[in-house]
Amino acid sequence: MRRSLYRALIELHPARFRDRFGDEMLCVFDEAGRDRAPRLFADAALSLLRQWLLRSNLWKMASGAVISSLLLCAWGNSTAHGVDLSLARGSRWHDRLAMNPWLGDREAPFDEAEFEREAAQAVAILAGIRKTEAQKRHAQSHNAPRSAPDPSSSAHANKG
Amino acid sequence: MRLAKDELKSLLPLSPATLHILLALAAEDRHGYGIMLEVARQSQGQYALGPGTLYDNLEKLTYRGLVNEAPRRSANEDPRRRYYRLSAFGRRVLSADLERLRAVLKEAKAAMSPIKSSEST
Repeated sequence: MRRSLYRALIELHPARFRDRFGDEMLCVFDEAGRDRAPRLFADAALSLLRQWLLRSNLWKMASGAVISSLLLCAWGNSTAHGVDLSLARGSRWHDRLAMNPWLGDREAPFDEAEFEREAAQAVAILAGIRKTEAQKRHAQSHNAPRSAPDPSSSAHANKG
Repeated sequence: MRLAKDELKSLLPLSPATLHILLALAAEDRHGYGIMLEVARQSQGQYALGPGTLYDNLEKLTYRGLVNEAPRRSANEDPRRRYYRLSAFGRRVLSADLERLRAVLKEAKAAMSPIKSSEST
């Protein structure tokens, strides 16, 4: 039973070591006798760890996997952060647009009829402002004392 | 020659396991279990070398050319047994490490002698 267990421990070693020294290790176990079996088991278990972790390329593969994972995590995190930032920027800009009544909803499709209506309203408002200004000037020119007429104001009045 | 000297220096100081294994092989060729018994005898049972540690070291030592595999002594022996022999390079490395240890021992004696004399007074 003990021998089978010890053989199993040897079998678990990397093939390179097992093929080279497996038979010799079992031979030592047979020669050492039962009294030394517990110490030999402990030694075989340590040897198993040593051969897999230090002597085989497993530690290189493991460290490579860890470094790759860390790099991937770092890249993923920075990318996610960038995406978050752009989304946040987009949402802030979107909020500002939404709050501004002159700009309206940026995401709404362009409505040509509404644009013409709004443009006509804007022209009407501008025309109203101009008309009001012209009436004001006309009233001022009538109320003012008779003196040399202001060419600019008369030209302006004629244009209006 | 210069390269061999540098290579020799790069192997020093030897680890306790390597030192004991080379010492065990210095007198004669031995198989694995024989090396373990000789190491136990040299260290008066204080240093117990297991097969895992022994063969891990033997693999490194044969790779570096300090130890070679030796022919079997008789055909009646267990075929699983393999004998190992100290190479000429291995003997030079062992001599260099023993010289280093001698120097360390000399320094240690010089450093410890005033303490011993003060303790005795």
